[in-house]
Amino acid sequence: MSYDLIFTLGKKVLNGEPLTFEEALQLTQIDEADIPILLGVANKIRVTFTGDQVDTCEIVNARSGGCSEDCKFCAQSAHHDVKFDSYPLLSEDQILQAAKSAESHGAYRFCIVTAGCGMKHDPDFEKITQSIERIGRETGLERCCSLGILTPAHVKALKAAGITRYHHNLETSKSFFDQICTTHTYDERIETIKNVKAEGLEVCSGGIIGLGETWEQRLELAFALKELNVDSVPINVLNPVKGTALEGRPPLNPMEVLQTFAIFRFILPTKILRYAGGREKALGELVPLGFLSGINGMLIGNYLTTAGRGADTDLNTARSLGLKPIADQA
Amino acid sequence: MDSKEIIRLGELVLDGHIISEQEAISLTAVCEDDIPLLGAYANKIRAKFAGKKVDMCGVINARSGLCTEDCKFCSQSVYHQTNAQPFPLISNQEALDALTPLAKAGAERASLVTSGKGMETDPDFERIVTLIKQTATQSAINICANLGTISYSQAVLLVQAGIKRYAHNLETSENFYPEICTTHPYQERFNTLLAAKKAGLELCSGGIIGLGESWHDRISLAITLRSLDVDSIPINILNPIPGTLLEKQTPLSPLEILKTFAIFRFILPGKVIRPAGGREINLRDMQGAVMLAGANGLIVGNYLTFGGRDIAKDFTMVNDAGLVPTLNN
Repeated sequence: MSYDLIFTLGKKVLNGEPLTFEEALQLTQIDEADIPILLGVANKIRVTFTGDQVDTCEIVNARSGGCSEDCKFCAQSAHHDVKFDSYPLLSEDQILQAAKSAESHGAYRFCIVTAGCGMKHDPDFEKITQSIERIGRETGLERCCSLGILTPAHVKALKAAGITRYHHNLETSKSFFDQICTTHTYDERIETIKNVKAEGLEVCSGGIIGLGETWEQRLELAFALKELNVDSVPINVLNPVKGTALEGRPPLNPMEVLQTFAIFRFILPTKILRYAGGREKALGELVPLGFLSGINGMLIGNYLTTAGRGADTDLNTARSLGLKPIADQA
Repeated sequence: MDSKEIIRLGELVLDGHIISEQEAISLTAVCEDDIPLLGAYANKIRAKFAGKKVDMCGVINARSGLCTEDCKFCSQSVYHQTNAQPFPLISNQEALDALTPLAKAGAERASLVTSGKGMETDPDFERIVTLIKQTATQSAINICANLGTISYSQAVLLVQAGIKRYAHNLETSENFYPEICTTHPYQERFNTLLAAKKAGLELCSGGIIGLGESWHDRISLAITLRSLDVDSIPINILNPIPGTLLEKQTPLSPLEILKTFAIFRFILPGKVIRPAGGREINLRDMQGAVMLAGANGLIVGNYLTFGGRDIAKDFTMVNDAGLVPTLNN
């Protein structure tokens, strides 16, 4: 019986033992008819280690487009010809407005996201820290931001402004990264995460699947995140935006997407695995199954340049499955 | 109950063991966190004994309302005041018009459904036989009939008219049935299924959950359907229609519904188990999940007295779950 392995490895994880890379790789090779069993065991692991709470966050695209970097999936890269709204940094009032609206939607965290490689020589940095402080004064939200590459000095300033968590994706595995981005290195991303951790801030870091990476590379990403001991792992699924280098990429099969969530849960039993962009398009009506496959966090509302399915819909889905959105209890 | 028990019973069923009523009842004690695992075993059992095909079927309300029976959930009973509009038997052309969108969407079957207790003394029966004969030859869809209680000789006439399958729900367990209907006995329903079977018809028979029945009642229904060797089991989930006696019934949670489908699959490994009316409002966005928890059929399009959803959505959902919808000719 081929799926014996799922239970054997599930038991191992439930006993608190880490999964090896080889073991995780075996979970990628199961029969399609056994995928729901894998999902069921991942659900059990999620319940055992993280309970029934669901972490919710909402993001604002605070500065959009014109990015110097060439990430092949990204609608905001200056290297791509994509039709969307490009704009400079929003005003403090606009950012506050977005935060208040996120709070009213049921978000627990709020993340300010800016396009660009990072904050080195970025004239907007000070304005961003001021916005973070103001959100702290005028809302009850946990504050987070995603500003690209940071130096230790930036991290200190953000922490002083009231940030509790920083978001910076690894995007994919080290071995695949240069096929996705050539304008900065994987090591720079890792260094930013280490800088953030050195200041005692929490880290939200994940990636995007469906770029053409192999299963091995997807697992490499999960193990790299485990190694970095990040707190929250957003998993985006490529939404091939017209005009990007990956516009013609075939979509992943929905069952493979769910299988990926479940294997990430096996590898990262205690962390927040977060539903992020592209899930609606990739999973269709199987979106709610993510919550029974290891997911325990989600971005609600809209993404940076694409629309989500609405905060209420997502929150009600979670509630209908007996899960508890964190803001409901706050 | 421990998840080990799910695994043990799942393995037994996969090995061909016929699950007992007692074993099925033990599955109802599964804790909520293990429902996905129970669903996964049901999925595995479905894959092994029923394959990947999902039977897509629509219903046509061919005569509506003014029913003499008092089924508590039903908006067509004369005992209830509801907004459901009664109408007499539809014409041949109306039937074909109603079949067109179903055929176009790709549904394999459609059932012609008439309100009323049954056909034994029904003056419309002859016209219904003609209607079936004509639609069966003029539509790409396989036509089934759902006309209430029938005699053996009527079943034979239906076979001659060109149908292969008769639909007649047991609705719930024999034990709970008197709470739901008092105007005709369970035995008449049972006898109709026996008559249809004897005439060589395939059987589509299931029921409705969320009426206030116990888990024992649900299991008992499934075991009875197994004893009748029915081919297809539609499971409706109560849509509490204002004006019916059950209008205030508390809805079932999506997880309890998933659990019910999964346990039905344990009991009926190789049959078509079909989410039917009420799935939209009760399962909400867990429709896809039920396709991976043992279901392998769907009622698509509109129901008898309330609307369903876009048929194309159901086809996409089935494909997304890695399953294959059956198609018409």
